[in-house]
Amino acid sequence: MRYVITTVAFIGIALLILLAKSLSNAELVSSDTFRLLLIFNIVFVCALIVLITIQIAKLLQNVKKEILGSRLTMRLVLSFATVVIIPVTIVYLVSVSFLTKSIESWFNVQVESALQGGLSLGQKTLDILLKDIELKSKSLAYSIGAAEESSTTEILNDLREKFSIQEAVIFDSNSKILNVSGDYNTLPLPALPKQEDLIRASEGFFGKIEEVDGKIFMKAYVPIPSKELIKSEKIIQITQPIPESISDIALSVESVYEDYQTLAYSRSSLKIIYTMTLTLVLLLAILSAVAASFVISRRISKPISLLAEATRQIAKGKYNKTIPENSRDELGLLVMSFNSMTMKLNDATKSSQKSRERLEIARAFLDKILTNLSSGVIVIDKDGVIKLHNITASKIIEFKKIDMTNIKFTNDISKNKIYEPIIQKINRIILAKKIVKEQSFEFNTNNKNNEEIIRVQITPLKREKNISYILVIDDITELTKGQRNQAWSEIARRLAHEIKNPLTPIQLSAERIEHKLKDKLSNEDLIMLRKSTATIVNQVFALKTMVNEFSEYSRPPERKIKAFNLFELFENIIELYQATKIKIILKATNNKISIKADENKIRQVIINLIENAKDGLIKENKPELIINITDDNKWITFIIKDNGMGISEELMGRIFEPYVTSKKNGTGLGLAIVNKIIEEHSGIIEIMKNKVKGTCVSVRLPKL
Amino acid sequence: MRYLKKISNKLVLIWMILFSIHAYSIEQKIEISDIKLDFKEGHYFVSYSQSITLLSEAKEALSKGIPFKFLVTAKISQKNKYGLNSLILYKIFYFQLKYKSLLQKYMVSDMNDQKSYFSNIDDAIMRLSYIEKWDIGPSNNLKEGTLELKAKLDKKYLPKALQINFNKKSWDVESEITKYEIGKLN
Repeated sequence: MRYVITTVAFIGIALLILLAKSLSNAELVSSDTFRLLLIFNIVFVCALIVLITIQIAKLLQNVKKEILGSRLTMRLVLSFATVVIIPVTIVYLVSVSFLTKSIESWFNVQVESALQGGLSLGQKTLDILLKDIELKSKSLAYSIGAAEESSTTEILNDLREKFSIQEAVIFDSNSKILNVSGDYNTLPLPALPKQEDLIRASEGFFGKIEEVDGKIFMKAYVPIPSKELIKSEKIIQITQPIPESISDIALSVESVYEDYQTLAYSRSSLKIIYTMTLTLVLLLAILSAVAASFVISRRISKPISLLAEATRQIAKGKYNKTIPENSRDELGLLVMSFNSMTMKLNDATKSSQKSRERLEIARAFLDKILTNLSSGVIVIDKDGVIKLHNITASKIIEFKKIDMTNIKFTNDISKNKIYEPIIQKINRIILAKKIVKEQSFEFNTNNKNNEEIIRVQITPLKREKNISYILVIDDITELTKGQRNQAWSEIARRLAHEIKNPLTPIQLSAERIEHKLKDKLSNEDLIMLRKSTATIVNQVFALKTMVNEFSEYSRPPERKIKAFNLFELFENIIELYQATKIKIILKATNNKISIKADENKIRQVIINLIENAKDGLIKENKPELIINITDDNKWITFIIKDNGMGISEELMGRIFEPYVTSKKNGTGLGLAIVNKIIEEHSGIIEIMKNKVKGTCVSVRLPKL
Repeated sequence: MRYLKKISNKLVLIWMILFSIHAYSIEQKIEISDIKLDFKEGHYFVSYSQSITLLSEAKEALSKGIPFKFLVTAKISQKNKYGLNSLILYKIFYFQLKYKSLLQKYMVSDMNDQKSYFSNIDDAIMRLSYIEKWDIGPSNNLKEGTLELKAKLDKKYLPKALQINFNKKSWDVESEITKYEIGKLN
């Protein structure tokens, strides 16, 4: 746009100069060229108007669209235009008025009268001089006419000199030169008179004034009277120049008068032309100024618009926005400062973003750790408000909601009241504010008849004046159980080792005593001996069984995994109980349920469970055992339900612990061994009471 | 009659408009006629008659001392073997009509700058009615060709204000291009 306007301005100035020149210099610009220039100027003005109209339309459109900087540009354009239009219009009006008055002032009555007077004076002078020549020529003609023909030349010369006439020539009626008198050393030869001049002269006198080469000459034609009183056939021609002093002045007055008349005649045209030229100048000046004001306004408002746009972008969080630095003025300085500021802001933002990212990564990492941590972690501030906790903590304490952040650590946070003592104890410790070092305690609970052991470790975390507490909560029930089982295994192993060795000699000794003494004793004593040795052997057998179970319980895990049909295994085992009065119902989704496991161990599990059920069904009139085998994508589950006497509430929580049994002769190792085998197979065993009666055992084994 | 009275004003107006149109339609012009071409001593000489008609505005301008300089252009062209016109001769001359305020006479300058003075403009124009034996230049005696004559008021010698007057017609005094077919000249 600015190049267009610059070009347009140059063209406009050039056109105006040519137009102005064409008014004064005819050689430079012809009238046709002037018209062409005028048309060019008018077209140019129209083009400028169109250009400016387009620009105004665009500007208004931008203002409507609320494009940044458009309002400022409009204001600047209006200001510039006002600043230009008002003075230029005043100058124009004054100039037109001045010009009109000036042109009018050239043509006033006094000047015209003076010039007219001067011209009349010249004309009168010429008339007087012509009259003088007339008298002289007539006198000359009469003198020649009255004299003898032979003395014509002499008289002609004498009188010519006497009257100070430049040239005197006598012609006949056929324009033939008869006599001449003059200084032909300086004058050219006389020109022949025109026929019409001679005809006019025949009337008595004919005089004329002519301008030749810037000099005025008078010519007088007078017929020479004849003595014969007949019509004269001779004519004398007198040529006399007007004195140079008079001639120059007269011609000068004439020239000025003609110029004045010419000007006066064309004054209305002059007014129109000058007014039109001035109007064009005005229009070009105003339009160029308005067009230039667009460029200047845009140039001024552009950095401000860019600044505003950049500020908007920064407000949106785009800190890498920079503005091109095009000028060295205050605006340029402002842009430079802005760019410096945004650069620093961008660096700071990037740095902050990196820190935040690092923090996020660390937080995510911490979250991941906390989420995957088997221990529950809770961070509580000095006011007892939870600031952070992981899922494990919410699971252990059984939070009412998954997220308990910013909630006071009170009894209300847990769904289960059994955790209230733990929460209260923690609160007591925290509120006492005496904790300086790490502190921990364990808590035993009975959650739904399951014994739970929870260990809480409280660590104070001091940060400046604030203090937070990190609670690490572990459900160490399984750990404790494991430790206990391990301890029991160790005891069982040692017991088995210590007890098993003397059992065989005891049994053999008892049998040997019986064998040695059976013939030596009376029947009564023999009966008593046999009874005693039988008791010893039975008890040894019982001890051996117990020791074998100890050994089984304490043996190291060893599995022989292979694929087998679980349904078939159940069928085979159920056959062993066909002779009993227990009604065993086997249900399965299909009769080919393949599982990869140690078949013997699974058999041991099934027999153990059926045996346990059988023991519970002894007093039952209609003993019933329902076995249901299901197979899904991940697990193979078998559920054994009986309608027996069931398991007491007290035992339910500790049923898989060694030496926990409801049977009088039970070792309490059966379910412990079952649990151990299932755990070795990564399975899950659950025992629960039936809704009506009996016990339900669910075993889930993964499909390998 | 009443009706006539009613429309009389309108009739006058219409009459004035029609009169103005008629007056305007009287063009000022130059008419060239009776062209005669002589070939003598290797030169062509043109003689022709011209009738110059000036409107009152032009006559008034003349009477104010504004000189009228008329330009006469003579062109002789001949068709070449390609059927195109080739220029054989080109000549211009000026004659001038001017009112001398001092002498109170109209002055006519002819092509040879011979000045004649007349008391009235019609006599002065009459003086220019016949141009005799204007030497338009040396040439071969052409068997055929075309002479084109055109006379016009040369506006560049008018005062600037009149030159660029927007009423262009006022100063458009010119003739048509008048052609004269050259045959065998003796």
